[in-house]
Amino acid sequence: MAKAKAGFYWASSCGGCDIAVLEIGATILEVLQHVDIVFWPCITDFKYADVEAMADGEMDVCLFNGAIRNEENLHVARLLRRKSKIMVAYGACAHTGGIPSLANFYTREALLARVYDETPSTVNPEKTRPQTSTAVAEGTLTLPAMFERVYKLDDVIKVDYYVPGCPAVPETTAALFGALIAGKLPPAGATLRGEKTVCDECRRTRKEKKLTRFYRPQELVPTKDECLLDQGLICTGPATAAGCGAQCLTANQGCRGCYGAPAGVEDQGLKMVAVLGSLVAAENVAAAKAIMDQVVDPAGTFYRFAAAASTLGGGVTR
Amino acid sequence: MRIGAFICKCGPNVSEKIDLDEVKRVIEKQPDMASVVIENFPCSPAGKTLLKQTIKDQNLTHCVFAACSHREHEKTFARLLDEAGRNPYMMEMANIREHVAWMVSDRQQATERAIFQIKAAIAKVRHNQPLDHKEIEVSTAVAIIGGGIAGIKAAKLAARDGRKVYLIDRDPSVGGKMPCWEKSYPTMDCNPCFLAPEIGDLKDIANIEVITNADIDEIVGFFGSFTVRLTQKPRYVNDGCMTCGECGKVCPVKVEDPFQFGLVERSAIHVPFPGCLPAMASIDHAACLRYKGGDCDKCAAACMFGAIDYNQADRKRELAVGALVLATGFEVPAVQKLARFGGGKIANVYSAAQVERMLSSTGPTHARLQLADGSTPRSVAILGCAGRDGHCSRVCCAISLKYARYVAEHYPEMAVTFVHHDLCLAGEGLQRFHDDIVKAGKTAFRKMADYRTTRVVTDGDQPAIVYPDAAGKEQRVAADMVVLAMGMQPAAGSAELCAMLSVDRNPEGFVAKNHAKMDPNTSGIAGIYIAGCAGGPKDVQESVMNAEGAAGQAASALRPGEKVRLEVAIAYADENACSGCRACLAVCPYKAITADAEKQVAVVSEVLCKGCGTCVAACPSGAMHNHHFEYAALRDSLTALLGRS
Amino acid sequence: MSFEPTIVAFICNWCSYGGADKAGAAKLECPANVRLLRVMCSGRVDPQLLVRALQQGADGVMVLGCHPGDCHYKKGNYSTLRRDQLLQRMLEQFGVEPGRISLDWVSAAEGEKFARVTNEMVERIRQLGPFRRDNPELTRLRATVP
Repeated sequence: MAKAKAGFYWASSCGGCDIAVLEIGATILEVLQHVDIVFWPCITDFKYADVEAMADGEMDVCLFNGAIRNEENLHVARLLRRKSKIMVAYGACAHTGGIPSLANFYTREALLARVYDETPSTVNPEKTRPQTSTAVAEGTLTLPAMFERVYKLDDVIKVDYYVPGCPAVPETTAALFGALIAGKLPPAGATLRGEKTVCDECRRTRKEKKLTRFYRPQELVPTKDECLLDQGLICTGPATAAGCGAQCLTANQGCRGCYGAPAGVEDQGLKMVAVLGSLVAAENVAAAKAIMDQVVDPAGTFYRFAAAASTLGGGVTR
Repeated sequence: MRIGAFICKCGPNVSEKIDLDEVKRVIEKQPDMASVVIENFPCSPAGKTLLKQTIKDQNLTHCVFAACSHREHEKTFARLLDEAGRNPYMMEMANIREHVAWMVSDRQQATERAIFQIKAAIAKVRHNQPLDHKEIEVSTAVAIIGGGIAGIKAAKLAARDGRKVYLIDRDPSVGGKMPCWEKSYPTMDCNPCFLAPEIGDLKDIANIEVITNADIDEIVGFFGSFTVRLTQKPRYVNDGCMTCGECGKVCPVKVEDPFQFGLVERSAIHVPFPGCLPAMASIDHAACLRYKGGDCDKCAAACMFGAIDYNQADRKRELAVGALVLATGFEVPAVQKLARFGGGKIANVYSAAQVERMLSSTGPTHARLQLADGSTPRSVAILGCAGRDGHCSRVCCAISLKYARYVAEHYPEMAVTFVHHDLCLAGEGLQRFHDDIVKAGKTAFRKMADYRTTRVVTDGDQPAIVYPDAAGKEQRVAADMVVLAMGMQPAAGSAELCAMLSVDRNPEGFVAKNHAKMDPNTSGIAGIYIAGCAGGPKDVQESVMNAEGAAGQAASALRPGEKVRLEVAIAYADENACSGCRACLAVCPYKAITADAEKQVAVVSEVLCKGCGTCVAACPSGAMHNHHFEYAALRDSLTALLGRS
Repeated sequence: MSFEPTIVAFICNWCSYGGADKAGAAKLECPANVRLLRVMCSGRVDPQLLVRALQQGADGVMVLGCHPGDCHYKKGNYSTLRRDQLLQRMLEQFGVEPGRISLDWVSAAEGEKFARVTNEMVERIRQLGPFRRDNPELTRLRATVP
């Protein structure tokens, strides 16, 4: 039987997901007996031209990590979609926008102004900004245009499977390869995650919740066996799909929500608003406001990995 | 799916304001519409007959009534569906009368709005599922919380027709405050003598169960079906006890005796008061050396009946009752709390409650007024309104007069002065009581203009009341003994109990009445009644009247065989999606949600849930659902309302 | 022609629904563009529905419940009140103007208040202008899929 052809790509992301593929350890050797890697710029020297040279649908699977931030990301996403039978949004950025989509709470202009003009360490008297094309003596240099917002992969191309996580956990990656090799893939459109939420995988004991204040992480060393929300630390576990094994909780850190919303939830952040709002011990506006104001950055906290997947797409057009 | 829409003209009410033909044209084009009918009065007998026939003839599975307010005819149309052999939940209403025709004057705009409202109703009805009605029989049992005179009288009346009554008290004995007050006014006869047979009866009424030494842990439920969970604390004495009191004599511990309001101390093992029920001694767990790590067993050695049992443990009880009577009584602040009046600081300043004990035959001085040095006072000054914190307690004036009368009778040489603010003498026979004392001429009445600035100071070796008179001039009354008339405050723990039951309290902190005049025995929550001072200061007579009123309310409401219809459009948890985060438990106003310990999922009680859906909105996992108001139903309804479907 | 906003009002079955009935019964003129959606309790109004309403075409969304302390379900509206505090701050981060989603209390007796708050809402949203839900960039990206 011919080996399957696989491609990997890193768009707008930190690159951790490319490394996360290798976290499956020695299993990679087994995978390689059945799979040929035909494109993986992070690991070895492939060029876009190599992909362009392929016939449409020549690749069996593409694991695409990273969000869509600019024209290059978009171009490659479309290219790989054309060349690949199965497209996998691999990791939180491709799945739900990830950390890069936190930028969606700002306009592109505000972001550029911050980076190129306003930060205290910036010296830029000529007000230089990146240009899509710049004429120099040797010719014209080009840069891909940056979009107004960051998009998740399925905003711009059709995605067959989603692997959540920042980064994806090795068990899920291995399971995906296993299913691919065995030809036993789940129904198209599936997200490879647990059925319930992170709370299902978290072993801490829980009380009937009544929240009287919120602590920031630096303000409290939580106990290791009680629910963090019960202790007043924000944990997005209740509104986050399971599948990670509650790793952050094991490290005494609240869930940060990288798996995105569970199956029955449309909007992770709004559900966090719903649940925290419901649990705070206040019965008038002033008392509620006093406690709620302790949530310093609600949007950033509740959509840390999923702003691009929010109902409003992570920002109203300004 | 075959949906029928019935559009009501309501005579000219709707038809003149909305172009119903246009509405019909648009609605007919909606998918799955089997029938759209415009009818003049669907709620009339002829209209109902026609609608029922249409439902049957057209074999409709879902119906939408575009008509008036839900409040007006939702039940009418639900019944109509039932009569047509359909489940009454397979319908929705669109209120196009009050909410459209009557509030939008522009005909075209009203027509458009009506169409959106009807489309939203159609989108929602697609999600409706048949639901079956459920009924439960009421429990006829009554739990009475607080075993003072109000609780006792309520228990006896409620038990008269044989129903089960639980009389619950947190103290080791029932009886409440009444045994402390030996003399009653205006008759000057003996309170404990009235009380003893009332307490004695409790033993003989088989269907009253007295549960003492009990803390209420939780009460959930509603009229007809409350569950009371309580912990009966051990008294470490079994029913071999004969209340001989030998145990107390050998007990090495001395603690303040609440029954004597701090005048004297008692032992850790003690008999609460003569005539207590159960007639048993009790060990004060907080005071006993054994429960502080010691191994004292003096009382066990002294008991000739072998009645001491140090190994008794907490006993958890769960009672199913149909109604609750709150008879939690009142509290008198400790004299030390009255700092402005020298309480606990200036010698020979006593609270009225302490003086009450001095005058009692079972009190520490055996019915004798006595100063700190053991001598008899030559003069007494009584200060009214000393404990007053806003509200008038209505009994203190009469109690003060009672002391004046008592002193005049028993100590003819003793000078008595009553420094009072207003005189509150509204009870039966009290005006005559007062007039007789005035006529006897042995008591000096002095009126203070403002009780809030009155204070007690030391004057030589006497305490003295300093008060402003009507002219604003400071006056002074010194006496060997000063007696502070102290008001009644809500009993400790009653606020927490009210919070647990979601029963409102009035500004003074007592249980609020459902209606001050028309429903004074009932709280704002169905099935929870108020007896005695739980609802505010009362004397014994008023407490008994109020208690019997509450018991009568409870008994007449809980008829055997009476059924309560349960809400069926309630919440339910999908155990395949619930991770047991427990957010919903705290959100539920009815404590209807529990966590299944084994499966770690939420479970909604079909009996307790009222279907508000707050838990559904709160559920962060999308695991909580609401029959009849599912997220998908509201979502699709919203989409249709916005014209996006 | 001036902008006519579309507004959705979630009304609770026990108080604000009755308030709307009262407004109608008193023939108080209320804006046609406020469309009503009945829920049993304002506590049932999932924030997902509120934002979804904006995203699906509403320019403003109202939640009308029983006055605090008067909730038919005792405490449902307290949840609504608290969620609103957090939701408003989060919406601000999204660039949604304050007032697009508003929470108010209308009792079953307050027909006049119902008429007043709905009319005021329409006026406020008229001033704010249409909700900018469309993202032309995304529309363009999607339209140019090869």
